[in-house]
Amino acid sequence: MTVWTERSIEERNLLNPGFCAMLLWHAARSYNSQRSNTMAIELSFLVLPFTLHKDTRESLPTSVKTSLPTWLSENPLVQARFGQRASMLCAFTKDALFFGGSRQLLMFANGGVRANEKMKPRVRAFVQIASREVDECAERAEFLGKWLERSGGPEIVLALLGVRP
Amino acid sequence: MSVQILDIVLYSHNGDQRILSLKPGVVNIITGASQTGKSALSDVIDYCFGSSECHVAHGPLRLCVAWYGLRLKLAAGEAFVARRAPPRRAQSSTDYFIATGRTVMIPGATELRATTNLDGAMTVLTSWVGIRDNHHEPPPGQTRASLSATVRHAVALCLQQQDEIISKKHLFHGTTDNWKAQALKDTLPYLLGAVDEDHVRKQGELRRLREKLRAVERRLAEIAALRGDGATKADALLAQARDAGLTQEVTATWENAVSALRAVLSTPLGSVDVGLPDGSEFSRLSTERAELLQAQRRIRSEIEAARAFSNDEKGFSREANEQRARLTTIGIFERGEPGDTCPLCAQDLSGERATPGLAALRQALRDVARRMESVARVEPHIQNAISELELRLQEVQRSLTSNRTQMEAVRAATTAISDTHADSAKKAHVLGRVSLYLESMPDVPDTRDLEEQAESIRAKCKQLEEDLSDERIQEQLASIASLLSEKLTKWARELALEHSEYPMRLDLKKLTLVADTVDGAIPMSRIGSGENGVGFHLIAHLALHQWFVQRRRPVPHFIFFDQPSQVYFPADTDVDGSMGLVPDDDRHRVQQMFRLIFDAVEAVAPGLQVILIEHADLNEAWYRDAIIERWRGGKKLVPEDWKREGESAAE
Repeated sequence: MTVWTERSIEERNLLNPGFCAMLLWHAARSYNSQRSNTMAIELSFLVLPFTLHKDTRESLPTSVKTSLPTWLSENPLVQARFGQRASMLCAFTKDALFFGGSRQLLMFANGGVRANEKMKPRVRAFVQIASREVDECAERAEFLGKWLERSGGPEIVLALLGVRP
Repeated sequence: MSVQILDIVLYSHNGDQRILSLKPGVVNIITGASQTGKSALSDVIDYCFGSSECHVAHGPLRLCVAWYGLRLKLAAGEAFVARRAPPRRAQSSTDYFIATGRTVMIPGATELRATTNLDGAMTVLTSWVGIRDNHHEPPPGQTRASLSATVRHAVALCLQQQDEIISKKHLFHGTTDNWKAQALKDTLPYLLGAVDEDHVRKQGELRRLREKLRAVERRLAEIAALRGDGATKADALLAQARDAGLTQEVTATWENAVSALRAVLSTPLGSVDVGLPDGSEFSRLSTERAELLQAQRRIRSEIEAARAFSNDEKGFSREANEQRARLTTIGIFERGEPGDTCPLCAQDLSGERATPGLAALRQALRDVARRMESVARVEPHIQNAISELELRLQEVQRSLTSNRTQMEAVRAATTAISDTHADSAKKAHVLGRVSLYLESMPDVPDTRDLEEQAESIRAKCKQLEEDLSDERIQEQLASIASLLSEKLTKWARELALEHSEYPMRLDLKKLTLVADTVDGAIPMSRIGSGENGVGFHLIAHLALHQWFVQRRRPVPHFIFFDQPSQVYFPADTDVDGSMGLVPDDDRHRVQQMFRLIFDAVEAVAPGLQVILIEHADLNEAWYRDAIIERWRGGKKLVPEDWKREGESAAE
């Protein structure tokens, strides 16, 4: 895990833990909104690889009804690269979890992560004045939470993506 | 070690579960009276494995069940696959629930929901069974489409329903339908392993090589064509050059014509302009023109450099803007107080392990903002410089236009000049055409290389075509059939089937068993009495599945046999399963059949699972030990108290 001070300027700014934590907040919140289940910690490591990479983000389906295995077989390149990307972004997810957790944006319970609903107005306010790309990432993170929840338990999702915790 | 079944699970509309547990790698027997739901089990299994319609017969098993599920043992790990029962009056449902893991618990009814659809489930099941990329191209001249084997084709080899197992005409499940029979014939080569593992990759490579060959041949044709009319074109141009006074050469071959044209081209245009004795005004204007053109060129390149610089700056500011946008999210945290301990594991986080504090992020935000400011300040300077340059450019262009008008006027006034002008224009014209011709004609290409390339590609294509040829596959199939034949003949003799003194083999083109007698090859459909159908079915399926297990073929490693004893022991003579009314000879035959099944499974244990549905309840230890459920005296598959959808449980 590269220590903060050793990262490049671009990494620090574009992937700063405040931004990443905000994405995790969106994903955890929409995951929980489906059937009140808490998003497992392993699944939170999938949020950054899906939302930050432009091509992957844009190839996500528009409807949560799309079946995950079918979408994966139609986008084989995603599955091929996903494992690599996920491990590269692992450190950033961890930072985001700590950052968000120690500042009451995210809460941890039952081996999972929950979004702090009370922070909603502040999150919304800042996402709105930020750039269009930030808004897109946040919206996709929200979609991802719902979609992953509907696709079954954490094990089947990870197995389909070919990723091990 | 492909797929085997661990449990069959039914869910009622009220959240109850009925679990039928099976053991992998051995024979599992379910005995019972009629009408208890035994035969419908194969329809349940088929439905979970993705049949397009639910063939479960109308009755409690169809009406009182909400979800059908299978807990499967995979090559690595376990899985649970459940499919919603068709709603009333519908033929199927596409709602699937799939879970997997190293071990999997049977989910409770409340956990079941649609997580994927039929296509998704098929994809997943096909990959679990071990089917990889494969593709069958029908031989040329046939109209049917090419297809790839899926789990549906593989599962058809695992089921033998009550009416199928005695059929003399059809050996495999579902093959009364011609399309299904043809599909099975097309996919058997892959499923048996007669098709090279690399088949699909080789097909792709063959396609690619053919494309390349076409491109090379096209190139060769182009060059030949060019040579062809090249000859006439080069000669014509040379004639024009002679006419314009640029050369004296007369040539015979194309190569010589080309080199003569090259010589012509190297004539500098400058020497074409005749020096003018008294055109001082004209020469002054010419010099002025040359200077203006140079100035124009210079200004243009300066403008370009300035624009490039400005673009870089724009790119930087876009990037910086995005960084700023992402950093502003710290505004969410403004008033939060960070702890020094990890919220997850309470480890101390201060010092080097600390994530950046808000202060560090605020500093980063300030740095980005400052850098953006400096970019913004530089921008207007560049813009001004560019505008200035553009004004100067316009001036120069105005001067050029007026210069041209003046020159035209002078020229028109002097006929001598205009003659020379015409002459030099003609020379310039011819030079232009020659130069275009020489440019568009490549340096005499060495077709030898290309021809060699074409030859080697052709040789590779031929080799691949042979590898992929139907003949090769048929050879492999024949070899596999001959390996199976030994087992088939041996077992046919053990069961004392008719014509078993002759060799038995599997005819994969006709999907049947054949006895090679002195009177010719006799297919199953023409052998002996009705009783013998079952024997053939048993030996064929057991031999195939032993092959699938030993060669690790991607077919599920279970067989479902539904009442092989029915010919000797029909349902109406069944009182308690003990076959008391059955003559001794027949009872012996039945026992032989069961013994064969058990021995075949043991020989490849724990690779093969057999699910045997029977009326008979043989009084032998090895048989009784394999019985997992007895459905007599009121016990059946679907409990009595399960209600249809909509009826309440407390009625």
